[in-house]
Amino acid sequence: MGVSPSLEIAKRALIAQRLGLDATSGNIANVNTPGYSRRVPNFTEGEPLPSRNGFIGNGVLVSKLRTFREEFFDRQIRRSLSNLSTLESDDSIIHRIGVIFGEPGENSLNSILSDFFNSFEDLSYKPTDVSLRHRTITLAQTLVSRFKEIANQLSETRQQVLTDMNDAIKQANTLIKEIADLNYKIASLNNKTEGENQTLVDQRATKIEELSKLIDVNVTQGDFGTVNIFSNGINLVTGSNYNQLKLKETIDGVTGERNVSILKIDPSGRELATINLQNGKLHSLMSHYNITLDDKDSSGKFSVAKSLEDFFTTFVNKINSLTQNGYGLDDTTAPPPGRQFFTYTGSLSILTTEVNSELIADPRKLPISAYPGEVGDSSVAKQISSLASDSSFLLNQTPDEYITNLIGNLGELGSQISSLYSISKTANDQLLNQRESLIGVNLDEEAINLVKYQKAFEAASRVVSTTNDLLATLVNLGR
Amino acid sequence: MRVTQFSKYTPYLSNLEEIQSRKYLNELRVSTGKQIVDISETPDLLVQKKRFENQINLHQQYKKNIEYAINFVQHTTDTLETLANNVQKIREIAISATQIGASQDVSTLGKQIRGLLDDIINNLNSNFDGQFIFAGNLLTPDAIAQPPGSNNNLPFEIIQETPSTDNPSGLKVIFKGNTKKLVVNTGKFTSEALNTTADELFSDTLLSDLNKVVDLYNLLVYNKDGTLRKDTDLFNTDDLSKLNNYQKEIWQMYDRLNRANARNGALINRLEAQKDQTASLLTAFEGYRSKVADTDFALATIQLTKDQSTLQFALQVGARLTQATLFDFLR
Repeated sequence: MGVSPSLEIAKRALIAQRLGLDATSGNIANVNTPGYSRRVPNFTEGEPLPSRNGFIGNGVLVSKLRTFREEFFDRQIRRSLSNLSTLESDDSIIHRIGVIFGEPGENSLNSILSDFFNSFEDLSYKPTDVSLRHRTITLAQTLVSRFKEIANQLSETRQQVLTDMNDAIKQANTLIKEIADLNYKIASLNNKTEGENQTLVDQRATKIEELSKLIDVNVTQGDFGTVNIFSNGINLVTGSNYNQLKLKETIDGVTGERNVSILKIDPSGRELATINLQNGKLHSLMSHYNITLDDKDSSGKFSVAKSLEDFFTTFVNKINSLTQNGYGLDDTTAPPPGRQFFTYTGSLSILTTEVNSELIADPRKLPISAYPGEVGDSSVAKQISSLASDSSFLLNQTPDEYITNLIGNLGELGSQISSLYSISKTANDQLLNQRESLIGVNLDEEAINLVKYQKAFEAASRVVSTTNDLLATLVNLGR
Repeated sequence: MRVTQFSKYTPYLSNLEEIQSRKYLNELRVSTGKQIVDISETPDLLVQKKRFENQINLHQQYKKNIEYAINFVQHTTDTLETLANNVQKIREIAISATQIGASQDVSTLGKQIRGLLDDIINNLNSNFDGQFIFAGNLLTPDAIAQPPGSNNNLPFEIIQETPSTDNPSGLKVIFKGNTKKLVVNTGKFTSEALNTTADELFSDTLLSDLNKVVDLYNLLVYNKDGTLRKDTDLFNTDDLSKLNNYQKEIWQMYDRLNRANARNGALINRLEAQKDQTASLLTAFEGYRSKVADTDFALATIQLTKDQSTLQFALQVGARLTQATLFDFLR
């Protein structure tokens, strides 16, 4: 056996240790890169060579760059992220609604409502006091304007949710395309060394995680290292082929209720299937758009906008039905003038209703007496003020109870979401931590590896230099 | 377990955010004095607070109603007392006239009665806070219709009719209001009628008994034939008998007025009791609301101090997170 194998062995060692140094450098460089999975070279001994004295080692080889990514954790984390993202979006919207209602605050809807009913109590014993009549009308205007403000803000929030949904759809479509592109690249590089495509695999895993924040995602393994993506059973990505998502708004011809759904479309824009999302930011946004913030919601679930609209229409109808039978200060003959307290254009809703302009112009016309010419009668005012404690006002609740329960339900929902969010966040952090303990970079560990590979590289260099000396000695023997 | 860069920093950041958020909420509690600073933190307490606030608003209104009612009834009582005094004076004059018999002051007494009758009408037309107190639910002049012979829109008026043998002066007291009650809610299930109506004060709404004062005036000022009584025109037995009857009927009117006033006194007592009860309820509700909605400063301050210490230690731990790695020792 000659000297040259030693040189070959040293060369392999230099290459292997340098690869180790490269992997370590890569790990150190990506210490803060989200989704990065650390790489460690897998050293194996080279095929031994036969010699007169038996088999002798043939140096070191790097069989592959090992990574530590595990599908189990990735799947759990995707599920957890999807859930967390749903709750995060729910929490944000519920808090926004709370702020719209001015809760918890001093000038809540309850206090304005209470002032309005109490003003009729005042009128009940001073029905001829025009300043009190004026005050009642002003309070009614305040009440209507507060309802309008809330309804408008809920409507604006709903529009914002729609914009957010469109943004999320765009984001999801970009991610779907990027995942399919990465699938293509991974499949193309599949027969090359694993280290090269691991970067793409990591990138794809990060993209899938981003996608799982938007929609619920299921991942299956495809050919040549590719993955297939499904959302609630609907296939979105197969290898390098993909479909896009589309937001579709439908309007009920009878009720005018607007609902959105998410569809799978092909590249030509043809609608292929409806995706019934169960989780993710888009699911949350869609449910708030279709239910919580929809003033015409017919799902029967808890809808803030619908509850408010129901309250307002009941309130207006009840008060109008009472004032229609009443007489103002100057109405001296029967029948009653049929004056409504609130007027509206088109169909009755918060946004179409105003206090009767006739009453604003002349508070003497406020019809609170049940008999013509009896200005001191305040039966109608009493009936209106007694609505405040009418337990059959709406859904077996008084007006105040109804609004209080509406706020209570909102708070309860917010509380449930906050508590679920807290639990999910902890679970998600734990999962991320567990996965990171496998795939993450530890700088101390990398420092040791750096020293380890550096020393091995130095030693291999020394082998080259020693072998070189040996060769020189041999060459000089012939002189 | 391998500890990576992520395991060091990410959970730390997450915990730091939680501590800061908790500290912020406690700072809000201490600075605003309100326990409930977030709709979803304690929704049950928020609902309780709202229910108590509703009760407070309701009872504040009832208290206001009762206070108005007390003032109204008190004013009625004062007016009725003056009214009764005037009626009593008329009765005394009637008695004096009986005693004077053939004396020369009868027409003077008659003039006094006329003056007192005007005072009584003024009393009956008095108002509280711009609303007539004895006109039923016709509270303002606008609501009072003027019958023939009437010159004003007040509920009680002395009108001038054509003199007759029965009524040589032609004077008549009329009532233009009604006898409906003004009712005020004094609680969720209780209400009280505020006003004293004309039929409670007098025998009927034609004011037959009050018109006896006019008859008395006629008797003192006019002779049977309708001529003005002179000092020399003495009362006969029939006149004296009439005088005695008038005096009795006026006494009955005086008695009725006093009974009405006694009812008002009882009403004021009842209202005062209800006011006290409502005030107690209000205090109780405000206490409950405070318990639910106001900051427990002792607790909040302790929590805040705890949060501040926790944050301080957490920040110290954060400073240690950036401590040296093996790289710092490699040369």
